[in-house]
Amino acid sequence: MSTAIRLENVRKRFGERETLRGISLTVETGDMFGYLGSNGAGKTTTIRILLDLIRASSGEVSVMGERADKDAIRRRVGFVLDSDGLYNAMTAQENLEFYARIYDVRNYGPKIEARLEAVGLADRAKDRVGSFSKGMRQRLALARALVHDPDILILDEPMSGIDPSGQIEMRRILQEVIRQDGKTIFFSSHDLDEVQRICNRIALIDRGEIKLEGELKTLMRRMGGNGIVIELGGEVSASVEAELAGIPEFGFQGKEGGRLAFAPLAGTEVSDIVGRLVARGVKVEGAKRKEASLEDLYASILAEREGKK
Amino acid sequence: MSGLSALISAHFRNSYRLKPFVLATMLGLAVFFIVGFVALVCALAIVPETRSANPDAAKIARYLAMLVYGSGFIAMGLNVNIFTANSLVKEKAQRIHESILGAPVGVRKLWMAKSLAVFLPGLALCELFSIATFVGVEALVIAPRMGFVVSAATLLSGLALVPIAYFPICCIVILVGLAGNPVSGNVIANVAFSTLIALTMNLATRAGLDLGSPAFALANLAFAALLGLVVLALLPRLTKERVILSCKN
Repeated sequence: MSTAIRLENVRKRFGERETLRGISLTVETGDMFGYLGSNGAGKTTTIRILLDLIRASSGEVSVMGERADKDAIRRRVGFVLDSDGLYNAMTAQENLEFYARIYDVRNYGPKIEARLEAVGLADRAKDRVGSFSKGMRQRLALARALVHDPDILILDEPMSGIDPSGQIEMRRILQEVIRQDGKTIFFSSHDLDEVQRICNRIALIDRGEIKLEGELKTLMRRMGGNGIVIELGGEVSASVEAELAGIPEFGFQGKEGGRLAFAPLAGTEVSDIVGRLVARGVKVEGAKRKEASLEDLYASILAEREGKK
Repeated sequence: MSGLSALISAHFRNSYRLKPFVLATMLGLAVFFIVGFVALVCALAIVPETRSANPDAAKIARYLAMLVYGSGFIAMGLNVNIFTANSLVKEKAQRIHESILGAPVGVRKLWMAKSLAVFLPGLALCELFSIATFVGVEALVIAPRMGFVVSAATLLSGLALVPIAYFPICCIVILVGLAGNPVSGNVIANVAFSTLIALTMNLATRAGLDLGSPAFALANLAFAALLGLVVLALLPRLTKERVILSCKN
């Protein structure tokens, strides 16, 4: 697998303020990469550097193995920024034609039709963009980002300001793009749920520093520690709960709905816990390792930051 | 080249399409000022001269040169003043430049396209009003009494000298507007317009400067060259980063 995007010790300073403090990350070809961070964390600055809109103060930036400022690289990258940047007085089709000409797309008519069809705006092709809702504008911006069939798609909070149905539609289109075209997607967001739904790898930026980066599943498993969740097929009596709480090796954490949560000490097997429950007449339907949610990951980073204060 | 023409045509569409009222007002103002200016000069200077016992053809040609130059200048200046800041402010607010510069478009190409997009309609209006003034004054005021006072230099002052002076002004206005505040660009356009028109008209009427003379043509070219040097001096400030960061969040 080749590297689509690589940032190496990138710093960006605006006057006295350092917005990026030596960030490094790698996005492999075909990744759906989530770039998480709260407002002001440095996500947009990173994206602007990737798009050569601003220059890094130091560090190395490469896209498809080349320097990001080359026109040939710009032609292989599509993007949707937090502000769509569409011309209001022009129709949807004219906006796409404009960018098709900018990107030197040959015979762009059928491609524009196909992209408008893909984002569900074929019937609004001749309407002025000024009359579009926020969701429609973002979908059109996505069509614009795809009009030159880029290898990499960079999306800066593409769902922000869109209503829930618009978000579902955008997500569907994005997943379609990934499935059909196998593009590399760099998706910046502060919406943990959104990233968890779409991305396979993530990086989390906080105050200009990458706090963690890697395979989403691995990170979540790692953050989940050695937790175990037992799915119950029936009720658990208070006496059994009290008995479980009295066994320190099990690390019983409590009952939530139809589940019992444990953080067992090293040497304690899942089968030990399940065996004890079955022996007490509790119906067990399943047991699995507990995974942290992205929210847990985020919370742990924030907690670490607070702890440093 | 395809990118440049795409940028220019997009600017035209976005600037003029939804503004029939502004467009009509601008044209109305141009017609009003130019007709008023021409009528005033004709009534106070040209007609009395043509009616005099010994009409001075050279003097009339000077007045005509002033009218042709002034008409072109008013038409061009109004277009730059009314449409430049307006469209740049909107494009910055909508962050259109950010999307364009993220594509394979250099910041200088964007600047040149915007400058041409402002300059070209002004050029068309300038040529239109210069020719209309030249033909109208010749045919209606001068020719009936003393025949045509045809002078290539007179016509040239409006058709060529005004655009030559105004192109670098457009470049400066757009450069300042892109890399900084579009309103500052408009202030430059306003100051350039009012100062230059006042200066040339005063010199023509009070000091007898012939706007159709080679000396004035040279002065005009020197002025344009000076503005060109200002553009070159400002050019290093035109970077993608400045354009992006000058857009309001």
